[in-house]
Amino acid sequence: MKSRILLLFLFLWVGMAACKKNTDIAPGENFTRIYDNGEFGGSFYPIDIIPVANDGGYVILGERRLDDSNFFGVYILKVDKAGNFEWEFKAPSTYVNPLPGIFVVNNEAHFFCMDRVSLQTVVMKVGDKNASVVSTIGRVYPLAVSRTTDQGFLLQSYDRTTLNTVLTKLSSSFAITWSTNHAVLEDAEELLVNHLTRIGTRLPFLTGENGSGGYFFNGFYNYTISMVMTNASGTYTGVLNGFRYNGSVSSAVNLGSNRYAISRFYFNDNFFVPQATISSSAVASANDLKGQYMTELNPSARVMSKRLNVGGKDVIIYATDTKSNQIVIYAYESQTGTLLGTKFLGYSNPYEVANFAITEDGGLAVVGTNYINGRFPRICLFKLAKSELNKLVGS
Amino acid sequence: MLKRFTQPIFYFVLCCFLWGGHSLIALGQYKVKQKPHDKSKVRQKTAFERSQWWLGIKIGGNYTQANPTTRYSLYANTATQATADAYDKKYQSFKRAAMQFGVITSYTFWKGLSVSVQPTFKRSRYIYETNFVWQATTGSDRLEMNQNHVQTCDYLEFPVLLRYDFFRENALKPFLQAGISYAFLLNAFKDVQISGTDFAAGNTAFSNASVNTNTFTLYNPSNFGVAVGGGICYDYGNARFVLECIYKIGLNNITNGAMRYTNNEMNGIADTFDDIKTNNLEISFGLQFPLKYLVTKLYKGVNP
Repeated sequence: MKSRILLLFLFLWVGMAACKKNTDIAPGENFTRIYDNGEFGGSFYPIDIIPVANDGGYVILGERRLDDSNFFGVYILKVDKAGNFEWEFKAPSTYVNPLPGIFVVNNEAHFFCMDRVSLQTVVMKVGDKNASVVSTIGRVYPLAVSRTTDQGFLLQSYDRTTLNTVLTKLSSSFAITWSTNHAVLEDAEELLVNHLTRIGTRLPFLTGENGSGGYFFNGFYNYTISMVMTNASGTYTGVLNGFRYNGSVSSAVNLGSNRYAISRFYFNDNFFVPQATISSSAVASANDLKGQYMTELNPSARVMSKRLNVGGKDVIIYATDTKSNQIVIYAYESQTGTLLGTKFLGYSNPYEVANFAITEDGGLAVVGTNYINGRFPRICLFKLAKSELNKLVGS
Repeated sequence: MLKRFTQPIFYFVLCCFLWGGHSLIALGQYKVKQKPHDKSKVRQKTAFERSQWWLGIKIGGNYTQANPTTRYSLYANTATQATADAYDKKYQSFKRAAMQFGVITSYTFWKGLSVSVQPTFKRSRYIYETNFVWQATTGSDRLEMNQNHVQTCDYLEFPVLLRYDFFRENALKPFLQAGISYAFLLNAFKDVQISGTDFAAGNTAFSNASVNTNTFTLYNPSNFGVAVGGGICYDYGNARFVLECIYKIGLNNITNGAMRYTNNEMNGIADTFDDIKTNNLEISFGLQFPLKYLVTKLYKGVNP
């Protein structure tokens, strides 16, 4: 009898051992990294991120403070799939102001930036541990660029001479297809320089396709920062007016036809409108879109939004910064605008979002700035596992 | 905060109840039948007398050593002349004491050989330090920051030990024991003390308030290992006093790799766990009572 009791306990013990949960995880499935060089000072701000298809790593496009200019220089960081540092490239200080957007052309990553002296738009290609100039486009003060469905590009720039916002359509080989001017009617260069040098308010310059066969840009127009609609030739068709330079759309994703998921700001307040109707041919006001007042967001928060397919769900992901210095991600159902989930990243030392991208393994890479010790801006990278992303959207 | 203390006590009481109850199964008495004129003969032990159950409690302290098998850091060094171990944690072995208490159940089944199961609530602590320096490339601007991390893990342990008593006819008996141990994580948290000097602000020393973070999800829910040890016991009447030492060698990674980067508070202090195995040195004082008695004038416990 006693031996049986003893055996019973031994079996129980072995059973408990067998219940050990497997908590191993593949390298790179999820991680957090802060890229620091141990220097007192120096500033590194990420702009965008793109997964590298052949090695599972990431190319991060960023900008760094220059000693000889108030503009920020081009900085490229390459990390492996586990977020480990591989190489960095500090472009010559001639090339400044990289725009959000890393585009794959002929299996190579390209991005747009500005020539510091001529202020013209420059296209650069990321090479092996470096970047080189591919093309120079005669448009000064490049502010935003996006890919079009014909694999071309839509570039927004500002002409300081004619005081126009210039919308330029580029082919896939960076040749100018057409270009249109949109009058600002006042000199906005000071605002623009403050934006580029991070001295003043950073403004949400955007470009994209409007769902009616045309395009839109969010930029300087008619004494304001407004969301301007154009036809396929870049000719003005309508506008969603902002309030001077203190209120406008801060991110926009077209959901088909005249439906959009947008965020907007009005002075220090931020609003999300995951289901907005914006006519391509009407004159309207961004303030009239109302939306959900996001009280937790940083007054100067930049908002990034993208339409993604996550776990079979068509979702809109918003990423931005909170007053508590965290990065926050919101997932909305794209057809109904229903909030699916929220996730906060970072704590204590301030974090600011720069951009995000779906990874090769179905996870989410979120790149941002971390102010180490509350003072040194450094690039940080959060990689969420596919399971975490699925959990966020409830699938 | 209250849960941190009530939870182990609950488990301890539960264990006492369960193991005490189970031991009652073995509780027995045996009436010795001896004829007066057989005093000169050595009486043969019956089957009842050839084994004994013991039940008792133990309490003591322990020290932990953490051995990193794979190192991780939130920081990735982009400096061209970066040293590979610039962000490594500096572990301090067997530095911080913690306590344990539990129940001892043992079954002596053959001469001095026993099997002992000791459900124990154990709080273990290990510590490490991280040091960071930011130095200006030109000039003397410099910032030094030191973080002292104290990791606390509460486990409910189930060691199963095979024990051999030497000189078992003596009241004072040394013993050796060895076995295996399986532990369930009940609770875990860390305290971080941050201090440093800002040479760019007039050599200003700073010390931040301790940061306390729950780290339960960052650990594997269980820990498996082997145990060796020894001790000495002293029989006084039917009571047995035990002073024992057990050295446990952890065989599995106690860090939950899937959750390594999921704690925002840890991100805030730029910390993340390495893969680690732990060794633990435990010293306990125990008191045990036999559960099988001979009904004689002295009502004596069986000594197999």
